[in-house]
Parts: sequence; structure tokens; C-alpha cells
Amino acid sequence: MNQPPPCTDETLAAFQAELLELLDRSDDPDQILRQLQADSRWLPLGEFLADIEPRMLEVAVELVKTWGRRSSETGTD
Amino acid sequence: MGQRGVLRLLSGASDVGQLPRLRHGVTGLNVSSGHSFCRPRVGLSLMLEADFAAATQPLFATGEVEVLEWSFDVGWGRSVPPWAEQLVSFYSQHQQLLGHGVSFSPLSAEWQTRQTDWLRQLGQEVARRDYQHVSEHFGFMTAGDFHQSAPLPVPRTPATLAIGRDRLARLADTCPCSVGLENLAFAFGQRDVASQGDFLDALLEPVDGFLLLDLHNIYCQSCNFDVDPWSLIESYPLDRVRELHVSGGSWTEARDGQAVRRDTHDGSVPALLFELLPRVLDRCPQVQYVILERLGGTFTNAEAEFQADFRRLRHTVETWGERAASSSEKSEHQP
Repeated sequence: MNQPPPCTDETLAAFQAELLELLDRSDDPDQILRQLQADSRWLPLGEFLADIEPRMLEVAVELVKTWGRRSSETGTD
Repeated sequence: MGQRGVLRLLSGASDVGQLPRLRHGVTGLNVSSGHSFCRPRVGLSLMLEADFAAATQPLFATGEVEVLEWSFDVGWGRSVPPWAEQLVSFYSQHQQLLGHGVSFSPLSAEWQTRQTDWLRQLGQEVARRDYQHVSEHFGFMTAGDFHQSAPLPVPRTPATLAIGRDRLARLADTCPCSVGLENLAFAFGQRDVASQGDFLDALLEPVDGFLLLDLHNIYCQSCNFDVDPWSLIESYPLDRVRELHVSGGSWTEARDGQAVRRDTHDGSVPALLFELLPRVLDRCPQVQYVILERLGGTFTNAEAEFQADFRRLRHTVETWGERAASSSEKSEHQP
């Protein structure tokens, strides 16, 4: 069985940014999960993505919509 | 400022609304008694809202709050009410102040200017006040365009571990005291839940950091993933625990109809946490502080419930301490 490529700092940073974007923009946890799992950039994170439960993504959507603040909107670095 | 001055301020501050008047014969805050505690000290997490001041004033007035936790970064760049400033100063002067950051985001993969600024401000904070230790939250909350959100779990990869260790080393370099991390309530899945304890241990090991074990966070994961709470507690590095958090939360319903326990800090403490506490204290030999948390703005019509939770917490810890002292005495007298 092929090993997934190792996760680099850059991959992790890009993944964290993408996850917050998706959680903020979408209301559909199943769609968010499908999108993440279909993106080849996140192959190193396959095990993490396979563990994600949609009902918990639903909570994460609410958390980010409630507490999330964008630098582009507030002018904060 | 002495204890009576602080209490007068708390009682009479114009921005905290109607507060109960101080009783005559206040025994005072016991924070500087010099008594050799054989149990952890019990305290509160400071909130800046007026309803927190109103609900906690009787507890401060009777000297029941032995230690204060302050989320110092909440106060940066905003006006902190004088009564709150004075409470922080008072507990600092008596070496009973704990720091608990909320916005450093130690597991964000990309290092940001925001974090450099945060550490610079932390350096000023710890130079100004005498914190017994400083903690932050496991997880990441900032990335890309987001300079704020809620702490979220991270993949358990070697890269994540190296990033987290780097951030903790920077935190430790900034603080003249111990630094630690709090376990996260939110989890994406079963493996996330099962691996958090070991990962926290690996993160904390290089700086000999401490674990702030939040029992309501454990409760959330236990409810949401149908895991026995005690086996979950035992999956954490309990020798590293210096502080416990206790709080309440709430339930929401997911679209699939399943109930989800949330760490919203807006309800009473679940009875199970009081039942677990003595056993947790037995298993955590380094624990020094037990803190009750409740979000400001949620105390309306809940003052009595909150005070009862605090007193039950303190009674549970005191009873445990008496038993522990008695056992220790007996073992010392054994040939």
C-alpha cells in the first residue's frame, strides 16, 4: 500500500486556512467534507480527514461563523 | 490596596450595577494566610461583565476565592473595569494569580506578525504582574485571512508536533513561570479524541510544560463520542496536571437529530464532574489549582446556582484534602 506523502508546514498552513474558509462560507458539512477529501493537496492528511464526522463539522461551522474575524474585513494583521 | 479596598471597589463600582452590600465582619480573602495547603486552591476565572461582579461579590467578600485566573489578552487594547484591574492586582500581589491566554493559537502552522505582537505584549504582562503560571489552548484558531476564530483540532503529524513545540518554546522563553496547555473540548472524530492526551504530552515534554485539564471538555468528548469519561481522563498525562477547570455547558441538536454537548460555559456544572473530581485529584499529584469558569453575561437569574456550584466545588476539594492529609498522616506513622 502506498504511503501518503509527508505533511509539510506549508501544507498544514494551507489546510488550516482552507478549512476556516470552508467553515465560514458553507453551511453544508457533507459538502465541506467531500471537498476536503477530494482535494489532492490534502493527501498527507488523509487519516485526519477520514476521522471527521459531519455532525462535528456542523458544530465547527457554527463556531467559525460565531467567532471568526477576517483580517481583510477588520484591517487587523 | 488591601482586601477591604478591593472589596469596596467591587461593591461600589458604578459600572457593575446593583451589587450586594458587604456584610459586617467580613473575614477577608484568605489568599495570604501563609497556611500550608495540602489541597489545591479553589478559585474563579475572571470575567469583565457586570453580572460576573454581582454574582461573585459575595464569594470574594467572604474570602472564599483563593486564586484568580485572568485571560490577560482579553484585556489588551480595551478598557478593563477598575474593579477587575484591582482584583487582578490584588491576587498578583498575593502570588495567587494565574494567566490563561485565549488568542495565541499555538498550533497555527504559519507564524504571523500577530503572534510576535502577542508575545511582546505577554512579556510586558508578566513583567507587570506576578503570574504563578501561564496557559493557552490546544488547537489552532487563526490561519489565512482569519485573525480570530475558535480553537479547532489539528492533524497529529510530525510537522504539527514540531510547530507546537516551537510555539511552546517561544511561550516558555517569554514567561518567567511554567507554561502549559489546556485540552480541547471540540473534536472532529474518535481518533481525534483518543490521541489528544499523548499528543499533548509530546508537545509539553521539551519545555516540561503542564497540562490544564478541563473536566467539562472531557465531559463534552465523552458525551459526543460515547467514551467512558474515566478512560478518557486516564489517556491524558496526569502527572503533568497543575490546574483543573470545571464549568457547565449546553446541548444542541445536530441535523441528524443527535445531541451534541457544547463547552459554552453558560450553565451549571454537571453532577458527574463533582463525582469524578476526588478521583481526578487522587490521580493528579501535581495539581495546585481548581478553577470554576462561567461566561460573563450568563449570570442573570443564575447567581445562586453559580454560587452553589462554587461552594460545592470548594467543599469537594476541602473534603478530599482532609482525607488526603489523614491518609498521609497515617502512612507517616506506619513503621
